[in-house]
Amino acid sequence: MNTYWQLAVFFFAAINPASVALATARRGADRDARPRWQTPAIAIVIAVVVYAAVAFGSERILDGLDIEPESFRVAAGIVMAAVGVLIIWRGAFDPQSEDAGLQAAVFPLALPLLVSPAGLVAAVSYGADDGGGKALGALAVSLGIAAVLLVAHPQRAMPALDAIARLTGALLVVVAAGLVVDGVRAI
Amino acid sequence: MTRGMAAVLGVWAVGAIGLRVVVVPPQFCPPVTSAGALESAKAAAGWIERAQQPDGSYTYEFNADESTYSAEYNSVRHAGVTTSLYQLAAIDPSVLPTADRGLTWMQDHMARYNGWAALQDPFDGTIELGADALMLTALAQRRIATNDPQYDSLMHEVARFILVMQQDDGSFLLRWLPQTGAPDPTERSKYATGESFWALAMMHRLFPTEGWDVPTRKVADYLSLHRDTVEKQKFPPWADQWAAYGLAEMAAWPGPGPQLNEANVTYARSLAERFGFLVRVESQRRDNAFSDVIHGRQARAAGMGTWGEGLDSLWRLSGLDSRLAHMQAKIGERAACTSGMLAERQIKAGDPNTGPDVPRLGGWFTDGVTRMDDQQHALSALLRGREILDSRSKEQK
Repeated sequence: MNTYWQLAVFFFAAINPASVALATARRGADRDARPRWQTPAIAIVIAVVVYAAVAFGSERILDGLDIEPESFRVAAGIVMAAVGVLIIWRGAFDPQSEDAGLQAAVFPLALPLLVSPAGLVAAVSYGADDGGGKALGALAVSLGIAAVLLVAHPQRAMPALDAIARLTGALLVVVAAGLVVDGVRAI
Repeated sequence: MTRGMAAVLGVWAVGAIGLRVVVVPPQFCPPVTSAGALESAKAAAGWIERAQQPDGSYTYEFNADESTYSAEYNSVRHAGVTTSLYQLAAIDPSVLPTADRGLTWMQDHMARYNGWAALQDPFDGTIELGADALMLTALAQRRIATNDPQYDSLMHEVARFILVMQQDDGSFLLRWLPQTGAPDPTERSKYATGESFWALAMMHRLFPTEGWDVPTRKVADYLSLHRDTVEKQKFPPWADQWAAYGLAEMAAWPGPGPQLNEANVTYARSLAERFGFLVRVESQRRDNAFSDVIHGRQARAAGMGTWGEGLDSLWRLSGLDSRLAHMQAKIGERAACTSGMLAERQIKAGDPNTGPDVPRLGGWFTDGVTRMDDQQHALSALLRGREILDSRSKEQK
């Protein structure tokens, strides 16, 4: 069992709010006429819904896959480590999309920036181990930080965001290694 | 948006399929009941019994594909098989004559020096600790099954030999050399230490006023604190089911508890983790070439049986020591999975190529070959796992 704050750190590494903000900042200002908060807000709502479904349904997902939570930790760790290495190496993901407004909220903002492979496997693994409610609560911290950064749209801070994103990627590799060791050492 | 999202989802799907195939294939734990496990254990004993030689030795190894028998023999495994038969004798006394013939074979090959007795391998003349430790566990299991004291003095003779082989730090040397009249100081065994531990722990259970607890605690601490380092285990802890037997036996000793110290408990926890991991990985393996390449070949019954024995012992231990109680459910789950896999992989009546000329019934074969310890460890694991299966079935009701 992890504490709430441990989980919050793990999800911070998996969701990587700096990477999300950087990818969005690189796309430039939204040409949509809606208020600036609206697109991020929709994306955050979509992410919360997806993560809630995954975290609360984690036991069913693993049962359906015939996988013990302990074994899934190893798989989740491998995915998270791979994502972490990619972010350290290449920086934030840069999904190609011309979409704006509501469409941009779905793609690429909600998926694959906020709802990412690392976030999804983390939600399944920690949801199964620590409970869906606790996992979602811990996720909320990272989604909140991401929301603030997305609304602020800090284009001038792109170099800083890049550095933070890569550091968070490194943190993700460490968290992933811990998860793999945990999976191997579990009964 | 649609194209971009489809591309992303496509990449994710490919990754998920790769992950599923390579890292997390489904785990399969065939169901088995307590009665089914007992039937399997009896069938294993049947294989041993039918293959026993007139002198009490057992068939060592049989290649069913070539219908050939190995000329090798191993007195440590002989003693181990006899132990497993006496474990079963507590429930099914019909195996006693077979086990007693195995015991007679050991008695026919004893060496006696300075008040102790030890089994001397009739083929190479060696006196090896493991064979004697398991001979003592066999005698102890016989004592428990029959309450017959006729071998008590032999038990003490063999136990004294085990003490001769113990060093000050609790560890053991492997061989006693008749030429020098002393233990060979250069060799240890990763098996014999745990075997001796269990044997001495049972001596204290059966003869609690004689002080067998002192050497037992010494070896428990050596196993818990130093063995993996001193004996250079590459991936500690060594998955030592004999140590698990010994720890469970210690925890059940009479007198005020807890009998285990913190180091012993930490060691028990690490053993449970190791056995649990091994069972989880095994439950993901399938009997096909693809699985062989990606996940490794299915374990032979001798290996899987030892995991089951270890988990069965740790399950009992976790029921006796509150510091391990939180692990009992998971340990039970893995032990039940082991029993299910063992029962499912055993050769049953009606399987092809089973008949009087090709002794396969009740055995476990890997690449067409079975060795007597396949039956031994699987038998013990299935037998001892019944209590877990019973308890889990009560919980489900």
